[in-house]
Amino acid sequence: MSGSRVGAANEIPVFIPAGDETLFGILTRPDVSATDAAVVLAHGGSPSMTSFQRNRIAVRLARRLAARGCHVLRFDYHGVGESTGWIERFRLDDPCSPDLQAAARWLRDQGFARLVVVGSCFGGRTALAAARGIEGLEAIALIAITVCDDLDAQRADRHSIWAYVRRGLRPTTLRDLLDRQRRRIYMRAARHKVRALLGRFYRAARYRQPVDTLMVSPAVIQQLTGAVDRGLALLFIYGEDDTFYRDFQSAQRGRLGRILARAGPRVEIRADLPGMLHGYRTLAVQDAFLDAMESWVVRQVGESSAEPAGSVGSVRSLA
Amino acid sequence: MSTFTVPSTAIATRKLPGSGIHEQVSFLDVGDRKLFSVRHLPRAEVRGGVVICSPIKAELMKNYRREVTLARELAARGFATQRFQYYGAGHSDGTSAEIDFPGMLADTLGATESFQSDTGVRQLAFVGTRVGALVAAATARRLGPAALVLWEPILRADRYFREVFRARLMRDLTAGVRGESTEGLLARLDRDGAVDILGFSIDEPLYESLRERTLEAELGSDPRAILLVQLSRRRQLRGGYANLQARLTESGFTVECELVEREEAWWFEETDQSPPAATPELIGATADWLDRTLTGSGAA
Repeated sequence: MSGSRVGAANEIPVFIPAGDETLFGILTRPDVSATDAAVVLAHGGSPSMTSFQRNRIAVRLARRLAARGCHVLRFDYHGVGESTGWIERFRLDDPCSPDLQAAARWLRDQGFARLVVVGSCFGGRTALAAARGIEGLEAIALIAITVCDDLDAQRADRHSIWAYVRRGLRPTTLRDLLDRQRRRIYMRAARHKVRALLGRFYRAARYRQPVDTLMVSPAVIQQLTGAVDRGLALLFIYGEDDTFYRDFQSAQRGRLGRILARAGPRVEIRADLPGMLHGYRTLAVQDAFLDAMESWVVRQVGESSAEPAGSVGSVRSLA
Repeated sequence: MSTFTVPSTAIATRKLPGSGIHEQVSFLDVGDRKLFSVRHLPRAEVRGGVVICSPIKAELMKNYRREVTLARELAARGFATQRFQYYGAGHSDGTSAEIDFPGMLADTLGATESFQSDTGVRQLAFVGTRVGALVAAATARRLGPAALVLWEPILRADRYFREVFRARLMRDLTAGVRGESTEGLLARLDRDGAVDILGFSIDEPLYESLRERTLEAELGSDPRAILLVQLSRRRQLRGGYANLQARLTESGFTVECELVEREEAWWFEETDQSPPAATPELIGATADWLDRTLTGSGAA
């Protein structure tokens, strides 16, 4: 690892046009000679998310990768952070792919021919959805992603029908059914479970997969197929305690597994980070993640020569 | 050999369509520290200046977009606005272990000095949220009769830390994990120099430099105009805020209180994926008060 300390002195704030909106980003430049690849960090989709992410993990990652010779762009989706616009709701089935494509296009315009995307959960789904429209994309890291679109049905799918029946027959539940509002809540939960069950049987018949295989978003299937056909390197990375990883494992028994098998060594799956990676909710998982990401990205883009910036891969600065 | 044409300019600027306000993003040099800075500048005549002092850790993320929205609203009304991130926070340089109250205060004073020097703004007000309210109060006390807006201010830092540690305990309970008590976390902080609170590091320098501070002490004794904003579903002002208002009024301060109906779980994420209410009521009330106060067009 380079001993250089990359900081704000290496960083440039930028505005990126994205349709009617302007996105805000920060480009971190290496202080060793640069590789010809750039890394884009696509953040998660929670209402209070920003491009620096929890405990500044994106800032720390960007500066570590820059110390290894990468240019790194972290940016705010529209409606978030310093970007313009308004985002109604973060939807897994309609992620911010135009924003990521705009960020990638901006990097291509600066001369970066090779791109790697590191997407956190919603950001990973954004990366998959945007991949087809990103020229020069070589690799995507998918951080603790869910492969489902309907999180309510997914949660329902994790519990057996007998768990629902047992819960429904409890005296407290039967008493709650007398209350209209509580009845609505229970009916909604029941609908999610029925939808999940019917989905399982449909998919088992349609795709010749075991009945107990988790539902996977058709869009994810299509996007992953495209990514594999294109030869992209993919990293699926989870924590030991991520429920999304158990769902991912279940989904691998079906079509998802067949697609990933075709990709061979270009797909790497890790679920060995301590605790839950989703949301970066402990310092231990953050440290493990930074180490894992630095190692993976350097393998994708190649090691810099560690010579001072300017000697290889020259940077021509705009006035 | 590849050639990259990355921009080298240290300031990114844009003009927002519609409002015509200008935004400048840069890294400010404050002493030997580089701080992330955003300035929102009116299209025409500058009627005054506002410096926004953010909260920290999870609360910084929670409040972020509200501060952006407020700054844009103020700039649209003719008030130049300075936002920035403390050393060790957000996009700024530094690490979590380097955040302490004296540093936050120095950052704020430095950012304010730079703001006034570059824009020529003389009449200032400060907006501070949570711990940022302590910083805003301490800064204003040093700079003369600046008005203050305090969003959900911390009254006592020792209680604030207990509240923060309880957030971890609540998370541990819901996760079915045997968590540490507040006393256990304090002992760990003393032993290890830092504790992990929901993925944010609370380090000893921050704790030690902040824990004995109170809002009343940071406000000092020179009267000024204050807007105190409570974010809560309660329709009554909390006892602590009401008592503070009474004491300050007795000391010659002019304190108005605004109750905004929104319960904020500062350290937890919302369960739905809708964006936080930009809370138009909060933004509007704050901007209206600052407009009146900075221009002297109403009771202040």
